[in-house]
Amino acid sequence: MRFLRIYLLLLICFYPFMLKAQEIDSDLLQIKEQLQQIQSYTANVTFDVDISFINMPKKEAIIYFEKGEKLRFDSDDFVLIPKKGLDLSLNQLFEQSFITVDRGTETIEGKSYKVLNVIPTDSKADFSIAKLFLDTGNKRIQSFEVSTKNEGVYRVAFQFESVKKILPDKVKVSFELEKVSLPFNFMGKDTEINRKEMRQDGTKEGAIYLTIDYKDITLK
Amino acid sequence: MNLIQIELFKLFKQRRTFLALAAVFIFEIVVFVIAYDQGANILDVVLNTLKDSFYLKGDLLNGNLITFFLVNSMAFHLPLLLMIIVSGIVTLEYQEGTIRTVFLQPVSKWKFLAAKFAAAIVFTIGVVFVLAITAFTFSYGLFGRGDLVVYMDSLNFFSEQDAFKRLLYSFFSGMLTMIFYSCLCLTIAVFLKDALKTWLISILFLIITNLTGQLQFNLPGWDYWFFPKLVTTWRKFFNFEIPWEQIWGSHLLLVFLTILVIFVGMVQFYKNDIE
Repeated sequence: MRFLRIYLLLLICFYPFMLKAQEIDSDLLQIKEQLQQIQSYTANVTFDVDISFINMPKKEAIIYFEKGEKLRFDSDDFVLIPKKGLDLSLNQLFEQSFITVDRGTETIEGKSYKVLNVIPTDSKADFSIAKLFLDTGNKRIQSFEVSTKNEGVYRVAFQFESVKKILPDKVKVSFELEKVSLPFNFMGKDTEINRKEMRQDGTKEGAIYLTIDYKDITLK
Repeated sequence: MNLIQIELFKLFKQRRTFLALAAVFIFEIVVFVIAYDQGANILDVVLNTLKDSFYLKGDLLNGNLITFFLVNSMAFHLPLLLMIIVSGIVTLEYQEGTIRTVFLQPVSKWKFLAAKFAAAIVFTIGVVFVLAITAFTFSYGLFGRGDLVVYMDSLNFFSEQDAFKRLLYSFFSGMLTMIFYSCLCLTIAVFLKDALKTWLISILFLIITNLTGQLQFNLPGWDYWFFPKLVTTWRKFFNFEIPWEQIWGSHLLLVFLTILVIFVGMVQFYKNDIE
């Protein structure tokens, strides 16, 4: 009983120090600061869709990023632009307050990355947890996986052409989405389409590959 | 050549020829109105799932999609109209007794019917051309240009230029099917000699072909050689990868069947007594 009292006393005394272990990782803070220097950029993006039930030729669009503003797009063609994973400066991920949990290191394609979990502490955040792979040597995020509250899980992998670059030149966004099936001739009021049935085909894994050519990047 | 001209002249002297051509235009107008009224909803159904994961930039309710809907009329509406008009080339001769007058003169039975088949083919080609030209002109004029989305077991997106090319190919492919139906209808007319009976049998044939077209068996070549699939070869131009080899094969078979149908019609006509 005496020991238990001492243990509880120690626990109360050292609890604030234990909490410190869940503060934001210093490497991530550095990367975050670096990314937050990006004020705006314009880029030509080529979209290559890889979804089993969608066939689409490569498409091009111009994206306009301005810090604090919604991402804007412009294209002459019809393009599918992923809702998630296009936030290359990761503003949305760091928008609300969060804590990080160090998960050690993982080796991907022969290279070691620091793995962190980002857990939002604000209920306004639209994700419940994110897993980040940090390239601590080049102060960059190499890839991340986000579990959203309402829109499933998506994964983003970056490729950089040089070590100096802050923003990626190639991005792979992977996600899950529901497959639809429709009759060939879906014209006319008599064509009854049961959306529930359509969705019974289940979810499919899909990916979009982006090749990005930045026109101008403004840093703070 | 002279006989073909005469047959075409007789065809255009019939009021129902113009009524049927007007029906083609009315059909087009109906499609435009439906597309204008419901087009956005139809696309919404098609793209609904994608909207959860993607921003959709660009307008898919455009002239290419409307032309695609019009191309689909080659499955039922257009052959139906063609059969009604073309059957008259033979049945009217029997009904009005003009066939006896013709054969009072030294006219070859072979040449006489060959001219009718040729006139039917020329007329069919003309109607498909009119449909294609008006479809492209009005669709592009009213709805503009843009990418085409088609559901063929998967959602296939085609760029504006690619879509135009594929639609053009499908009209040419559909033309072969329409020629087959026209020739088949003439042959039925040679057998039955009566307009109403010819229409009924032709329509029954068309309905059965359309209904059985839905049948799907996992047999080799089913999609290409099974007759109801054969007459909708034009749809294969909307596969993401155009299966050229199979399309050529299907077209050759369709041409062979058309020649066979003409031959059967000619033989029967030769055997028929002129009453």
